[in-house]
Amino acid sequence: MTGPDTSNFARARAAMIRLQEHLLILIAVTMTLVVLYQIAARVGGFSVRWTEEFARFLSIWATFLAVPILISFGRLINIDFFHLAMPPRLRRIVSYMQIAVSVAAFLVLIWVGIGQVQATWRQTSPGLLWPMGLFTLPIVVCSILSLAVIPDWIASARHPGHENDMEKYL
Amino acid sequence: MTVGMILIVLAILMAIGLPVSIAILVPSLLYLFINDIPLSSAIARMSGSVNSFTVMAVPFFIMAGQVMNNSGLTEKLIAFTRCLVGHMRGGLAQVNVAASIIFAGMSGSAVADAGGLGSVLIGPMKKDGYTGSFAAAVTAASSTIGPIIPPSIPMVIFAVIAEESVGRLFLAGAVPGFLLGLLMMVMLRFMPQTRDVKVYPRATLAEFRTHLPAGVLALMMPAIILIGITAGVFTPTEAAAVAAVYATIVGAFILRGLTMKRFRGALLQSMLLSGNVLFVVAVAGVFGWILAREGVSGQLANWLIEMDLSPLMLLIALNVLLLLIGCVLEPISVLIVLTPVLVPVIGYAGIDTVHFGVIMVFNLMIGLVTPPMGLVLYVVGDVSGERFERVVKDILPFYLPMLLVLLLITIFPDLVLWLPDLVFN
Repeated sequence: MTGPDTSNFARARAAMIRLQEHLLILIAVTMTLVVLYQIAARVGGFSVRWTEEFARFLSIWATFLAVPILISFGRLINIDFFHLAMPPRLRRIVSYMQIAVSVAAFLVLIWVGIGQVQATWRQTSPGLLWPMGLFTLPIVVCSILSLAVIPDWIASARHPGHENDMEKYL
Repeated sequence: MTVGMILIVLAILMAIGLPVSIAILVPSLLYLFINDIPLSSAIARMSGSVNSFTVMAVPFFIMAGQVMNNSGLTEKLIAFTRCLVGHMRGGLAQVNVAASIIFAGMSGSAVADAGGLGSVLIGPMKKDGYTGSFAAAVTAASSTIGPIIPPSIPMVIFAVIAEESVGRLFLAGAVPGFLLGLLMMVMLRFMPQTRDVKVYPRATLAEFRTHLPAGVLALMMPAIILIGITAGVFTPTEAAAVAAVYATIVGAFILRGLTMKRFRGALLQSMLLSGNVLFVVAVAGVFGWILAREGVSGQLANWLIEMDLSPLMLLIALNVLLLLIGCVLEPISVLIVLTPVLVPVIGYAGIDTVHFGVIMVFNLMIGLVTPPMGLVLYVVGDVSGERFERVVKDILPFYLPMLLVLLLITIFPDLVLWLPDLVFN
């Protein structure tokens, strides 16, 4: 059993996850306030056309910013019954296969996503008049950040139990 | 690449433990690539699937439940329910079910209910004479009431996919949820496991007065949600946001258990939990589009027409199918994959979509407590420290009220539709 990874890259990953955590908390508060403002505006008799769109925008970013954290701690929803029942050696090989498939999927999302962000950048959203590319950008950001935390997934494949760190969240 | 091949790849990837979202994404991307469909459509559909105001109810409902839980309301709620039913035969087992019914009004997730109530109740139940596995089984069984009584995260997801009213679905789950809780309490009254366990003295008026505020505070949350939606004051998402604010005010200023650290923790937990669900929703948007493009529901409908099943027989057949699938798959994934396929079929058979939505969610909640994949069984096993097989053995009798209520709501649609029809018509 090796000790925790203390390399610069590991420290950078930890800092990035802390930053994402702060962003998620900020988004949660902002999203709630925006929806409350929407209710107040409607009850008050003045219409605000940007609130719903802004709340949706925040929700999309929150969804995709959460993914790399969940990957880092091995907590994306999965069915691990058969995986856990495998002999240790096979389980490790299958874990590496999972990682390889996921890396390929994220690379495709980055490659295609960048093109889609560029293609939709000049289109504007109806309420906020923001570039539509901002609504697809989180998928690219999510994929890049997910690739950055792959070493954590590899570590948990090598040393099962690593994912218990996530208990502080769930 | 055909749908059959996609489903085979999906099944293999899920079986080897790949995260469900990525397991859905990979064959979907392969399908687009092989059929010369621009891959950029996958990005557009992923973003579009979560770019929905109704879907935003999911993070807000999770937030409301997490904030309440982090405020220490769970313990107070259990004290309140002990005053109500602790004197009945079964003592804390009855309290467990009654607390689940009330907790269901604050949280829309069975896993959250099982984790929250299990961590507080299983220990005291063991002290009162229950075996750990039975305490865990009662907790697991009663937690399935959570997503049936409103609010309910699976119902929101079903409503979004089926383009049905969230308010109607919420109300439709109320009667089956209460019925299930009631039947479980009646069954506990006669089970041999509850014969020699501690029963609490009937609560005095003073005790009742002490614990009543916690019960009222908890029950206010579903009241705000349901009255707000049915009166047309809020949309479901707005009601969920108001519930989250209500939970924060109660936790911080009335219960005074919600410190800034706990509040931040609750917000982060809720964002991560909802991110986990909504990422599956995002990739399932691509998958659903592929199923629609291949005309899967049309083919299934034609097949069922050829079989000439009556609506009741069709529902019974779907019950069997959903129970089997629920045993091996996680509910949100099943909802996302099967709802767009099954809703047109049941519509063709003349079955009400709200009726079917409740039946579908009910089936999938039973799946949460059936081996081999029953997620809630693993949660309570973890909390109680009991072996999975022992919990499974002790939960067996609880399948009886679950299947009985499922049968009743299948045969008598009015049990489901009476309340939403009464309120919305």
